[in-house]
Amino acid sequence: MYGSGAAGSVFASYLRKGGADIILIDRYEAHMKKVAEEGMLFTIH
Amino acid sequence: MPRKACSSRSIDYNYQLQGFRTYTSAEAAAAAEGKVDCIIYMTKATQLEQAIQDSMPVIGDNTVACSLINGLGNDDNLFKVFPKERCIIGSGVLGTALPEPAHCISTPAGGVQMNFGGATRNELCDAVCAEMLKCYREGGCDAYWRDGEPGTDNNIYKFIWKKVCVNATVNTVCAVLRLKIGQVEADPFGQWLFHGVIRETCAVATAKGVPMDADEFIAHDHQDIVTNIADYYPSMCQDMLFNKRQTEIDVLNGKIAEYGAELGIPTPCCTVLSQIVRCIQGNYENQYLADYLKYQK
Repeated sequence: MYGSGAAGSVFASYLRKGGADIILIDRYEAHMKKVAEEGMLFTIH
Repeated sequence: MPRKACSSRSIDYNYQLQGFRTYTSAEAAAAAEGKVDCIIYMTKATQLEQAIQDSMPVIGDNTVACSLINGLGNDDNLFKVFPKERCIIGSGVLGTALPEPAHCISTPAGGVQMNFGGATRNELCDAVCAEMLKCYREGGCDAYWRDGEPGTDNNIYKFIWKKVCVNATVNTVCAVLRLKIGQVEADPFGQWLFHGVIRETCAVATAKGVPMDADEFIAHDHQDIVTNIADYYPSMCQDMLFNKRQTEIDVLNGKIAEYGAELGIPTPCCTVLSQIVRCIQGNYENQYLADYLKYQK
């Protein structure tokens, strides 16, 4: 997923939850670092 | 297992997803991962062309490129670099938010949440579309692979143009008039603008090989919108009136006007509306209300 803002992160999360092997590329360093270390909290509202 | 969080409004389902590998550049990703099977671009539409160039380190000879970015023209940007046989296009129909690092929120409205399909039908794109469909569905997203022949109702371009027609109509007209959808529809001049944008969009779509009937769109698709979400400020209203953000005008009415000019189809409503929105979004700080409030202090 190239671009992991709000929509990119949500679209990637659905795919990951469904079993896809996902690489995220985004310049938002704090986001990338925390996702790699702790995972993504994915909320479906 | 999901963790449930109850509120007075609804139930949130929270999932802590592991296993993402993350990078802050395509160079770093390529060094660790090599080439990717499929790259999905989810930048702002205005940044897509640059993003494609920046992503080249992870692109191989068989990498399939996919844009799920809203609006028109994203396919044109893919085709500048990738052969059509390796391109997938689509868009999502759900609200999203990223309130803090590593926490994203999906707010699906119900019904179809994702449409996508290959720019052409071929073995490679079909295989990637089938895998995307499987993963989206198993992940809980109501996604659809629109694999119909060009010009038919189940072709992905039909869904992209129908969504664009809705957004170019209600988003832009409501944003410029600073009114809710139902208020515009109830006013004869506002309704004239709604219908004008629809007729221009359908004419351009048809000329681009996606047959759309304006009268049918007004009677069904547009009627559904004005009936079901009359009391609603569309997202461009929120961008312009509440958040003072740059809008999607360039990939909606702006792109319809651009295609119209190329094809010799008049698009007076889309042309004027897109110029008004561009001028406003370049001058949020100079608008009368901001000036008025400054003098009230």
